[in-house]
Amino acid sequence: MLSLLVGLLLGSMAVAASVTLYRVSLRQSVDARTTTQQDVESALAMQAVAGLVMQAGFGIRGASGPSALVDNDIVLLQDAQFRDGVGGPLQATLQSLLMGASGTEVVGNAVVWSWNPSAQPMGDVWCAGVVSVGGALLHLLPARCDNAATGWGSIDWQTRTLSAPRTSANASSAIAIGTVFSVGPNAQRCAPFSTQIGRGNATGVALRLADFTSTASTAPAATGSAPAAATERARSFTAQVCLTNIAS
Amino acid sequence: MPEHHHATRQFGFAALLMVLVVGLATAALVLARVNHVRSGQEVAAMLKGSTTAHARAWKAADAMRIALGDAATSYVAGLDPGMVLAITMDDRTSYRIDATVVSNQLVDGAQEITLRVQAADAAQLAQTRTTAAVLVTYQVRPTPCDVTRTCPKPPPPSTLVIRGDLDAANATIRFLGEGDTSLYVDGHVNLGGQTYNLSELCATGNITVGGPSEIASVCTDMNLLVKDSASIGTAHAIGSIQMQSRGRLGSAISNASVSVTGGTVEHLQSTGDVLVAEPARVATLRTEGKLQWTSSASADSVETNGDIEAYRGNSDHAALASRGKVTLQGSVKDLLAHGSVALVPDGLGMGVKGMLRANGDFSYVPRQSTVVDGEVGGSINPPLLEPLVPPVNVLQSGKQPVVRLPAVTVPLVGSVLRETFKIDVNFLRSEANYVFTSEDDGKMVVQVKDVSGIPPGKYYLGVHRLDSGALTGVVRLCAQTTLQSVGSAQVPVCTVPALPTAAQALCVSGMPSQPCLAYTPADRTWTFSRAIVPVGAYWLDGNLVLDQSSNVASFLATGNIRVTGYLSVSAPNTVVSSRACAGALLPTNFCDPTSRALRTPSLALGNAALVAGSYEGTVFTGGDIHLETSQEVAGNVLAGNQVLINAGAAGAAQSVVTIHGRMLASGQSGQSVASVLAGKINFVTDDFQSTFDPSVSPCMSSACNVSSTVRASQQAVDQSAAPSAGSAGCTLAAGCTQGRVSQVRVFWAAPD
Repeated sequence: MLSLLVGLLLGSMAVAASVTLYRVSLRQSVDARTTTQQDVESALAMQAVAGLVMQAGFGIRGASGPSALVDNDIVLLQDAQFRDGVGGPLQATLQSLLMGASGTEVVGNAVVWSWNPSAQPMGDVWCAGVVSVGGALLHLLPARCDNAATGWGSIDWQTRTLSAPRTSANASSAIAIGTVFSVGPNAQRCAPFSTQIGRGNATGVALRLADFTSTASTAPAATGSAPAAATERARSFTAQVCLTNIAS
Repeated sequence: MPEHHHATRQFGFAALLMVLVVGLATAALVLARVNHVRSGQEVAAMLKGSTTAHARAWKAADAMRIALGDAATSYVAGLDPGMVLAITMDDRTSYRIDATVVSNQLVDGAQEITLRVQAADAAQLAQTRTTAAVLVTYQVRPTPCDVTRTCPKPPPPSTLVIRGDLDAANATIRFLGEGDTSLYVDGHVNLGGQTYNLSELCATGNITVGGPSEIASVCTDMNLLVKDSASIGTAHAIGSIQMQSRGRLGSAISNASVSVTGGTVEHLQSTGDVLVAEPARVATLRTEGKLQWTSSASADSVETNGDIEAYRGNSDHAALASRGKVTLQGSVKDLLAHGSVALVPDGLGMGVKGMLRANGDFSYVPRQSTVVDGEVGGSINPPLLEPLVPPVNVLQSGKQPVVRLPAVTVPLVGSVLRETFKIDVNFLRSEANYVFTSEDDGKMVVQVKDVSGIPPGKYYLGVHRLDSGALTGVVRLCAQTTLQSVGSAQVPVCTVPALPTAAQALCVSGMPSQPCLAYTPADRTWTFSRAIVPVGAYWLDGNLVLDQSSNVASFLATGNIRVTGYLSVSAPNTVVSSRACAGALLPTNFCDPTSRALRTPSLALGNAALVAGSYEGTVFTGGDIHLETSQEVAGNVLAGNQVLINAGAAGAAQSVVTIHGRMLASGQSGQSVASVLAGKINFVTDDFQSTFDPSVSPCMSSACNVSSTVRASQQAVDQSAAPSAGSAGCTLAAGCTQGRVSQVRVFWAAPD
């Protein structure tokens, strides 16, 4: 009888342990799946953004050939958000990309650019952009404009989601999830692109896109402010894009 | 026992349950991991594939740029939207580029063409194959030396054209003449000796210019080194330029880095980094890269896109502008910078004697540095709390940017035009007056045509034997010869002369006992020794040695030609008619027998003095021309492979090789060939007889309707679609012996 009780006790302990193990494993694998999906989405969105941003300045023409300039045909916006809901006009603080290109790194959460897709002398100029709001990365769909500097705040933007808002595996410590755009001096020579197409290294502006999860107490990505030094980029995708069509 | 049974059953149930649960958990874990790993791999493969495809597409865009640069603008203008240009890359990657013309128009005299460029790799696995396209707008601007479709005259070819490397490190080369002289090398060139009066030197390989040489213009697809005390007027290099000479470089453009460690450069433009070291000086300098200036000599103006890492020039007139950071050790008048500025003076009172404007931070050494009028966007270190001696007047500006400088853009250097030509004396056999071949036993045979005084036909060649039985130096045309042993040699002796008089001899030797012509079957070599031959064109099957002979003739050998001893060879067109059309044996293809004057227009063959090399099937043989000791050659020297000139071979210090006309070496053996010039060599480029046109070479291919110098263009662009410069009779614009086809700028590029 005693042996039966001991057996039952041992059995139920083993069952309890196994059920716990099962629960933990299941949760882990569900988390892993979610994370993987989000990683995939982030990586692909980053690729897409990198490709889109390179349109900036294409076909913009002055009296003697290409004339696209930073802060005119591409602008970096800090604390960008829609005035009401998702879509419509943006409000933000304009950052100087020229400063970023020749000195300290400047950051923001939205980039708007203009280009002339036809490359024809009298072709239409369009504006488009990307913005990171509420953890989601949105494509600001092309709309007619004069240039990015005047267009970003006046266009009634239509949007398309590039990556959906993130959920964190560990909500208690991860506060900020999103994308940050930054512009720095073009130290890496923009190889292989701008050098390969024979423009040398110096006329390109390098734009860095970083997708990250922050575990610091501040929430940099939500506002586009510079991530603090203590910010832990737990999972970060960085893509460096050379703006081949833009002179600083 | 029943209890025992019951307990066992219970235990089994728990174990079963446990195994089941553990199994389920493990399976879920494994499946999740597998899924995780698999999706991770998929993303990795996808990203890698698209990254590779993008990189290829951009590379392809650059390949198209080069291809467009090699194409005539008339060809580019004819590209209509929808047309596809296809290139197969012949590097190891072996992928194909397809470029679709999106738009093409003329804007401000330049063709603006937008292409959708795509690179595809057929060898790649289907599941990872990704294609990416880049939309690129190129501006193709013709240079003055562009080819056009209708051209009245064939191109003025280079005086010296060498395919393969050229080593003239030990040569003193003089170009004597009023007009432009040019040297074109499809390979590396070392003009380390002395070169005088050369207008233009262009090479597809590296160029070294040394000695006290002076060259007006130099262009290279690779690097340029100027040393000793050489001076160059203008230099264009796709690669780097190294100026080490004590001399002067007028204007230089490099699409790579530049180092100036000697002499003076007036105008320097570079897309790469620049170093200027003691004691050199550059007056005006523009670079897309960064600058290190460690020389104490001062510039007039400097513009850089990159940092000025050091500037030690010391004067109060230089103006520096940098889109990067600047470290100033010497003194300048004005200094403009997008980045920070650091004054690290070499001496007291050094700094900015005029205006300083910078967007970044500013640092200085108190009581050493000086700034007359400064305004900066960043911080000032150390802070300016009190007036200093020497004064540092710098304000921290409230507005940004303080200064905005336009980017430096340096013109792209186009690639060197390639001059192509082919030597094959087999095509000239039918034009020759005397065709020399040998029979199996070693007997010499000559086929004669177009010679007044000799009936056309086949003759044996034999040494004239006196009635006494003694052999002479005269070689006659015979109906029959027998081989007679003289020493170790087999000498053909004339037994039955074909022509009645000894005056109708083929050649007469200056030395009575030595035959003027001999043939050695072992090395298939014909040797003319101190020979005087009738005027005409001599075609020889084998190698040819001309030893101390002076003649008016064109010598054409299927093998190599060696010219030794003191000699002069004059091609028929290069001499006056009274010399070319004199004597009993008149070449009627060159000369009019009644007027005894050279025919007009003169025969193209008569412009060539020495031609060597031929094809046996598809294999090229011979083609080397050696000129030793003192030679005077009037007429073009055309070597199918390489030329080797050694003017000092016999130790004669006064030896000079003089060539009146052009010299070509076409490296057709396909192996690595290097022409070598040594000793004193003169090229005379004018004062010619009106009958001699050095730009016209005899036709040596099955289809030549223009001169044999034909430019090869459109190397990368679809060959069949491109107009052939040669067949269309195209030429370069006046004044362009070697030039650039077109300059291509990439206006815009973006992924499509």
